Amino acid sequence: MSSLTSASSGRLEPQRSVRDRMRRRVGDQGPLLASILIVAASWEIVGRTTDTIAFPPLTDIFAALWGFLLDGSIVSNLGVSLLTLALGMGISIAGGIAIGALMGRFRPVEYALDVYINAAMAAPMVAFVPIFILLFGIGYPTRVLTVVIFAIFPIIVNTFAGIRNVDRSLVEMGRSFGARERQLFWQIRVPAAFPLLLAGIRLGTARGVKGLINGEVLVAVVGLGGLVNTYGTPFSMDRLWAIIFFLVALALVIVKLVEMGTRRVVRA
Amino acid sequence: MSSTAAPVIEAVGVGKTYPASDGRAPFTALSGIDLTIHPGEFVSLIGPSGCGKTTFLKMVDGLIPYDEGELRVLGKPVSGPGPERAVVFQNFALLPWLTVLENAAFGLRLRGVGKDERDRVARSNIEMAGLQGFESAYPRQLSGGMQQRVGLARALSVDPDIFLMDEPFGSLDAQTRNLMQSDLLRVWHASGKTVVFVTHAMDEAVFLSDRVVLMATRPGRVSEIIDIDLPRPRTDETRTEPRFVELTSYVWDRLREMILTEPQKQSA
Repeated sequence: MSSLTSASSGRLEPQRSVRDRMRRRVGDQGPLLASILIVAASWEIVGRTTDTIAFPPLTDIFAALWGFLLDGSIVSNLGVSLLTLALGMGISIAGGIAIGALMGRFRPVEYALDVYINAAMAAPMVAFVPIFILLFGIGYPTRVLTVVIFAIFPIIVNTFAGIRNVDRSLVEMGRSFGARERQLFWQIRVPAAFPLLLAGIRLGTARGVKGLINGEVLVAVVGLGGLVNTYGTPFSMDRLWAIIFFLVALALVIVKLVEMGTRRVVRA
Repeated sequence: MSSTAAPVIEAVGVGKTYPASDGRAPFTALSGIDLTIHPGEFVSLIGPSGCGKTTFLKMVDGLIPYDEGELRVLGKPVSGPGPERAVVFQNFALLPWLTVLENAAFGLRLRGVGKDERDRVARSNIEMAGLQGFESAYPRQLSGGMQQRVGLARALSVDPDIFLMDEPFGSLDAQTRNLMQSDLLRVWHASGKTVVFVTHAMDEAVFLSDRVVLMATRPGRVSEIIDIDLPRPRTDETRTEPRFVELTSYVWDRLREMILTEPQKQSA
């Protein structure tokens, strides 16, 4: 079948497009670098020329950040924060997939839980933190739970949507070949839901990092959020900003890592 | 043909009416379908869109229930999909996360056939379908024609008595389509199975079939059954024979009449 072999390479991307993509990626960085430079320069000027405490000069902030990194106060608090995040995300991923899958598999579960999930997606989660403190004090359970309520709902919703919105023709194919409901679920719906499920984990992780900091700032003087509390006074704004910068960078790195990890899984 | 043998498919007065809903009048999709198909026959269903040819095919497969008349496959009333029937789908309906081999073996996997056995069967049918060498490729790496060969191998692998093909070559380009038609006839000759083939292409119906069932719309019904007396085996030369041209233009004349008289009845 000569027609087959000739068509086989149709999906491979030509070499040229790789170079094009590289060039485009570098081209995209131009405006970003320019905007960073402008923001940084303006910040420095505002910090040096005006009297405001809120914006210390950028150079002072980075000096403070450097100091934190050298004296180990960030590193020692990082461990506490990352452990809280890991526990919270572990519970969110396991629980979120389980709940979303049950909702996708059994209609009554969907009808029973749907309204809570939708409410929780819209609700400001920070409002629940004081209740956790009341119930569990200010230890790990409250902080882990804060991560969970931030992270779990997008994972539930995406898992459910992925399982429920599978291409109808694939389900019909399964039925035609004699699949029972259980087989349709495990051999067609679950694998088909996988990409959306991983997108849910990425979304959940981004929100989980937010939950982590919220919990640590509100709950207890621990972790990186604890540092925010400690230095959140008018007399140490450079240190507060240093920690905020570090948190933003940390959040970006974690989300990026999860994104790379899940992309790789999808491709495999 | 073998009209003395027991029919494989027997439709007597088969009809389907969708009840009124949302202020829309009840819609009769099919009405009074009488059709008897014998073992080893190749029968095409052709007609204007909306004539219910695909609906009828899915009824024979048991995916869509009928509410009027009698529909029997191998003497038994149709109540759902069964192992003696296999469908080749219009949009291929391949599972994108499975390889060619795994897709071809999917029907057997649903039936609980062990991996070694189902892989062995699937491999030989992949070869039969003209895809040897592509066992470990994924569907997205294949052209449309090759993907449908996987769909054919999947149907062949469950060794049904009846192949139900729903416009299987409808999305392929003309050259690929011609090749696929010849290959399908080769496979059909080798297997000796019964084929019901839905199409909207006149030449395809005439080239492949022993009989062409012409269907009309509103309600969907059998308008005429045309015997195709072209000798077999049919080859590319068949397409240039006067009798082929004559039969094709006869089918086209009948279809054109239907399509031209149809708009007066249309209200939408």
